[in-house]
Amino acid sequence: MQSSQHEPQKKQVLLREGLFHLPTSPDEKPYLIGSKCRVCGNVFFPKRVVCPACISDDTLEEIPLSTTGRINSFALVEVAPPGFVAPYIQALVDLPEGLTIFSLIAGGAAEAEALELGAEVELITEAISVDESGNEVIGYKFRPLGG
Amino acid sequence: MREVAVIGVGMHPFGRFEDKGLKDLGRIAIWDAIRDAGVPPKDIQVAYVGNSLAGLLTGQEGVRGQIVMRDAGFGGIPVINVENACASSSTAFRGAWMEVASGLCDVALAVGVEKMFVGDTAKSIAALAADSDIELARMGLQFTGLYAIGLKKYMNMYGVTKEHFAKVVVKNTYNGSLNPYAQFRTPLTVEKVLRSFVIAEPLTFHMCSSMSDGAAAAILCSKELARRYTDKPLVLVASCALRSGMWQPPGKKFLDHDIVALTAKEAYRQAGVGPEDIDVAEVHDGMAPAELMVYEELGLCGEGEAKFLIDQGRTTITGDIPVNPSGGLAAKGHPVGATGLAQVAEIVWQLRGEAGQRQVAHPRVGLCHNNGGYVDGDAAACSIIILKT
Repeated sequence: MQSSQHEPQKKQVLLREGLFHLPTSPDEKPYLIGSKCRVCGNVFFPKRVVCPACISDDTLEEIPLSTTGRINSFALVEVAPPGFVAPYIQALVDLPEGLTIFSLIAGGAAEAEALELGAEVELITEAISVDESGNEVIGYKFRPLGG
Repeated sequence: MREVAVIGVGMHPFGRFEDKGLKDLGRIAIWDAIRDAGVPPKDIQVAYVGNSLAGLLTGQEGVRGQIVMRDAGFGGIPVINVENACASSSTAFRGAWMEVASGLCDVALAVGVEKMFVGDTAKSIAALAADSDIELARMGLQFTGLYAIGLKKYMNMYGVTKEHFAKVVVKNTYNGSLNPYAQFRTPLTVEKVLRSFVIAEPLTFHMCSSMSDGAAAAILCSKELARRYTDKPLVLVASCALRSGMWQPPGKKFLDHDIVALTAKEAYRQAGVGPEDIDVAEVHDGMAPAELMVYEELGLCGEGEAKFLIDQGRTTITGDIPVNPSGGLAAKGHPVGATGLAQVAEIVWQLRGEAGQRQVAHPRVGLCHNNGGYVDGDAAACSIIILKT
């Protein structure tokens, strides 16, 4: 069997619709899409319909979330679930809106070594895994800012 | 509400049993409990059967409880299937307790059974990930890594080290070496635990609970009828508390809104006891280091003081507050849907003075803590059962 000269380009799929805004031009930055409650002021991610603090289904509005945050805590995962490549960093990131979210952090063992609790990080979008059909899954991550 | 006694418990040993299926594991635990209780099988009026993963792992998605019960010889009675991740069988226990406490039934059976070795480790690991929001699993959330994130924060706040975590494993594997039902019977040293491969820093292989096959069962009966069946020391259900996880407000501190602390508070209130009254405890050490956090969540010591408990050996079998004399999840094994009732079995044996080499000195009040699953920043379920003589 001969391999074709031009490998078909890997298809890319979004991790989930409505999770984040994917830039359509180089001037744009990605952002995560959350919800804010008009009554209690709490912010949630991913966006949701019912506010769990008020238990009300008509008080949430969609908002873009801050694109920078700080590392709450993190771990270097050395045994990966299917479709992910170990080692990779998973973390909880504190956003200025007052919520803490789950995210992967760009980089591997060396980056984890240099990472500290409280470090400032910035949102990016990139391929995070490969799905069952071999497609690249585009998701969000944070990357450390500065040195 | 009537007072309820646990008149019999039984287990199928935890471990790897290639030639046994769900029915075999369940049947052996059920009949073990029946013999222990001395109850005529026809007196059992209802069965609650806990299981978490059989649908994905064996294909037995529906009526798992009826499949196990019919094989064990039981038909006709109501069978209720219970799924609550790693807390499935403690939740089944609660159902059986409610049946008897309410007066609906006099004798009820609770069963927990899990078959995790199905010849495909990746399949088992993927099934475990389904005990959380599966949309999060697609983001790369991995349970061990999640535990590691929490532990790193805890270590940072209270000056806890990897050696403290290893000491928990040393204690629990020693206890497991004394338990004929345990999957791992070899005591480990601090060096060996720390030198095993890293799964997610600071967690090493030997700190994590293993896949397992196994089953456990309990027979519950009203206190007034218990003496009709058994001459053994009577073990009563002092409380049976169950909570689900909740939204965690921003800036919360370690023990605020903590599902284990909240469930413990409810369990202590129901039982009319405090943490100082607990003589022996079986706790959910899915990853052994989490046992330290549970000491604090249960109030067995103050916040940040768990490291002193393990350093001073106070939670060993001969210590003043023995924890996980069975070996805990890490040494006994963790067939998820059977774990909660195996904790109940251990505490019943301890309270009756039947725990052999791992017997704690004269306990009168024992506690079982069982967590299950993960949803949106919190455990999906938490059960705390307090038993007393």
